[in-house]
Amino acid sequence: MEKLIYFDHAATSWPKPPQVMTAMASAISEKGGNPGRSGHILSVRASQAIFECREAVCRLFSFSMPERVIFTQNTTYALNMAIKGLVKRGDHVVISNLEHNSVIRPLHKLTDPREKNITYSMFNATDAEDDETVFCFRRAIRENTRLAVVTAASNVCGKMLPIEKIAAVCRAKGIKLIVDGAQAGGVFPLDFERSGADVLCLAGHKGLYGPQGTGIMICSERVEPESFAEGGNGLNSEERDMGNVLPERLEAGTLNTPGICGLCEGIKYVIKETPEAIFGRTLHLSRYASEGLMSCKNTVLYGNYDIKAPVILFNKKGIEPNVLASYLADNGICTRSGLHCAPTAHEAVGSGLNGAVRISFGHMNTKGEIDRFLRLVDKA
Amino acid sequence: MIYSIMVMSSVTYALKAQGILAREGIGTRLEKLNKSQTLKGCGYGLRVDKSKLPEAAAIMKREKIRIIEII
Repeated sequence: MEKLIYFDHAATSWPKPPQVMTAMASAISEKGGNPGRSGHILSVRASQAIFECREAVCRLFSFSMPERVIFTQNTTYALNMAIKGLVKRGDHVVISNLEHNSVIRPLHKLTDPREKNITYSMFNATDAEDDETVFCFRRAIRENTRLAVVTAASNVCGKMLPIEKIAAVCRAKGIKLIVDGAQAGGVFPLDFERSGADVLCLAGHKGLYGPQGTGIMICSERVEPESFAEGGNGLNSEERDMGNVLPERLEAGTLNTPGICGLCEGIKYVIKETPEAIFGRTLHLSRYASEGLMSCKNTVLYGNYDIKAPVILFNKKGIEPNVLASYLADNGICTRSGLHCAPTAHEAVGSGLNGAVRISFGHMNTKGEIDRFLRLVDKA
Repeated sequence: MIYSIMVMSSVTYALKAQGILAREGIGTRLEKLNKSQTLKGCGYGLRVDKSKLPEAAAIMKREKIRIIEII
């Protein structure tokens, strides 16, 4: 049996650095108290470990306020919290056509008049020229646009959006900007302060190499999202509301201490390797794989940008994407087929309603693995 | 030892303050608190040597970290 080849990092990264697993085990055995609830050693250690992770997030994303780093279950929850916590009744929201269902579905629900009766529009973000993307974004803005939600990089094709330029437009027009960084955090350098975004939502278990069940929302001082879930937060228990202090206002219930401890080690790993070096390596792999796929028989690539997150979307003419992914899986290669929870993105890049096969790289992947993959695709 | 407790907005602020004070050479201990003049139920504070309290309070002011009560 040949070694398993993992090309599904955009779904979740694997393998995790060993220190992630060690930290999770240590959290259970040595930091097993409930963080922020008690004064005994196990609770204090858990609180300290969680705060250490907030500081690590700040170091990686160039942010100075650990108290505005909120832990969530995943990016979907972070996006739901940000969107539902910021949008007001009757608002208009602008999103790109590359967004994930974790953006589209919450907004769709909010269009219901019994909810917040909002409206939303999509702008085309597939053009290779940033200025054209910003032009399309600007054109989608209406008088009552109060919020924009934009991915930093598409989970379908890797297209990177010009966040700083979009943020500048938002700032000028008084629009709050939420950035979906699920495919960006740890994958390429991302400076939260400089980006101009108001909220950055991240996955702990993708480019940050943490465990599944971890996500992050970073909030600038310019926004104060309403609470999303209510319950215990260890503060002012006599009060009937969640209070106004972040992060506790947005962190109802017991936090995932083992997951956050693992995430902290994943983030430290990324800081040590540096996002610049990780991106350089995966971009190189991505270009190598794209060139190889283009020379395979009957393959079609979608959204093949020069600089992009390490995600490649392709099909082989005459073979259904799920059949191709299954054939690759049978040969020890992990990919993902289908619509990747982003149907409008597939429509935008031309892969349609049948979807395609996605391969996505982590910096531990090698050219040798890509060569084996290419041989199999060519043979299919 | 005679000590005071600086009541902080949350455990997160208490830990942030603790780190800053440690870097300035002021040792503190994280304390779980119950009801006080300002706390309506649970909360956290930092126990600090009373002789260090003015310096610690000045550092908190400089760092814009609110002490909500001193016990």
